[in-house]
Amino acid sequence: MIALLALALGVVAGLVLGPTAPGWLDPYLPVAVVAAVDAALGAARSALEREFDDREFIVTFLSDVLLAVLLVLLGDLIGFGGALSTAVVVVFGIRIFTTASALRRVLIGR
Amino acid sequence: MPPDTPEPASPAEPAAQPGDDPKPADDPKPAEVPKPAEVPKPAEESKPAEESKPAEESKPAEDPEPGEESRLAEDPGTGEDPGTDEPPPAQPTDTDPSAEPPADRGRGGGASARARVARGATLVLLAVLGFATVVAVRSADPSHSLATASPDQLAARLRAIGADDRSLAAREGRLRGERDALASSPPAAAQASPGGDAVARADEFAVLAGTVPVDGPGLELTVRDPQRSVDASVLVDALQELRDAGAEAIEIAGVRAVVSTYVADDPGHGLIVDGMSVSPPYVLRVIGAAHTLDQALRIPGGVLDTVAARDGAQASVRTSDHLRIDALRAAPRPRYARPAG
Repeated sequence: MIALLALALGVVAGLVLGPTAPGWLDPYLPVAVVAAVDAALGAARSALEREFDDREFIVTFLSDVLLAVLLVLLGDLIGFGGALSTAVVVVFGIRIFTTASALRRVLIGR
Repeated sequence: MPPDTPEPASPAEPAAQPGDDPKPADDPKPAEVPKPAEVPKPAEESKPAEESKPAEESKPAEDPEPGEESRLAEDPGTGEDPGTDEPPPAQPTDTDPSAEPPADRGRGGGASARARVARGATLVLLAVLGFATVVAVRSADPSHSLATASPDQLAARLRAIGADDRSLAAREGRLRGERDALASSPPAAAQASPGGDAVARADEFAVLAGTVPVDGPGLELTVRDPQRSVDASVLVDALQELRDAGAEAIEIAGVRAVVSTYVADDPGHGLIVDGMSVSPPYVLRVIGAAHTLDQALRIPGGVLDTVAARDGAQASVRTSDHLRIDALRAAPRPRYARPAG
C-alpha cells in the first residue's frame, strides 16, 4: 500500500513539478526507468511471496539502474550508439514479463 | 515486513540467536524475537541489561511481534504500532550499544531502526521511480525529441533537412526565374527594338548559326593523314568531344561546323564535310576554354590516341589565346519548323 502511495507520490510530484531532464541525462533516463520498473516489479513479486527484503530491493534497484546506465554509457563511448540501450531494454523487458507472469501465478494461484 | 527484515540481518549474526532466546520467559513473544535478533555478542547480552533499555527498544519492539510483522509485510509504518509491547531484550549490553554501530547491535532496536531506514529508502526509491517515469515520459515528448536525439540522429536529420532545403531553394530559384521571365518578357520585347537584349541575343544566335566570324581563346587541332587512314568517324568523335568540352564555335577544314554539320567518307580523296570535299591535313579550329578543350582531346583513348593508332596519322594541338574563325554559314531558313506557341 504505502509502496503504491510512494510511487503515486513520485508520479504526482513529477506531474506537478513538470521538470525537464537535463540533456545529458536523456539517453540514460529511459533505460534507468525500465531497470527500476523491473526492480519494483520484482519487489512486488517477492512481497507477495512473503520474501520481500528492503535491503535486497534497494541493492537490486540501485545496482540494476546503475548497471543499465553504465551499459548505455559504454555503448555510447564505444560507438554502438543506441544499440546497447536497445539491448538493455530488451533484456529488462523480458525480465519484466517473466516477473509479471510469476506475479500472475501468485495472485491467481491463491 | 519485520519477518523479512530480520532475515537479511540474521545471516550476519546468526550465532547470537541461540543465546538470546533465553528470554522467552520475560516476554510473551520472545521466541520470535530471538530469531530476528542479530546480537553479535550473545554472552554479553544479559536479559536484564536488555530490559534495562526499554526506551531505546520501544520503537524496535514493533518488529519483534510476530503477528504484526506478518501483516506488516508491506507497511513499515504499521510495524511501529506494535511498539507497545514490552521492550524486547534487544540490547545486549549497555556498553555494547555505544561501542557498536546501531546497525550491528541488538536485534530489536538496531534491526528495526535499520529496517525502517531501509523501508524509507525503499519508499524513496519507489517515489523516485514514479518521478523518473514521468520525467522520462515527458522527455519522450516529440517537442523534446531534438534535445534527446543522439548526434547521429541529429546529423541525419540535419542532412535530410539540408537536402530538402537545397532542392526547395533550387526550385524557388527556378520558379522565380520563370516568373521574372514571364513578367519581363513583354516589356523586354517592347524594348527590343531600341537595342540591348535583342542585339545581344541576335549575336548569340549568330555565333551558334555560324553567320558571323568569331574570335577568342581556343585551340587548333591538326590531323595529318598522308595514308588516308583517318575516316569520318574519327572526326565525328573529335567534334563530339569538343562540343562536350564546351566548344562554342568550330571550323573543320575550312567549314564552319554548326548543328547540322555532318562528316562523311570520300574514298580516295579524304572526307566530305557538309558537302565539301576536304583532304588532309585536316585543321580544326575551336573556340572555347582552351585548357578544357585540350584536356578533352588528350583523354586516354580519346581523339589524339585514336588518331595516333591509325596508320601514318598524327595529330597535334596548339592552344591559343586569340583564335579567329572566319568561315561563315548562311543563316538557316527552316522550311518546316516554326516556333511553337
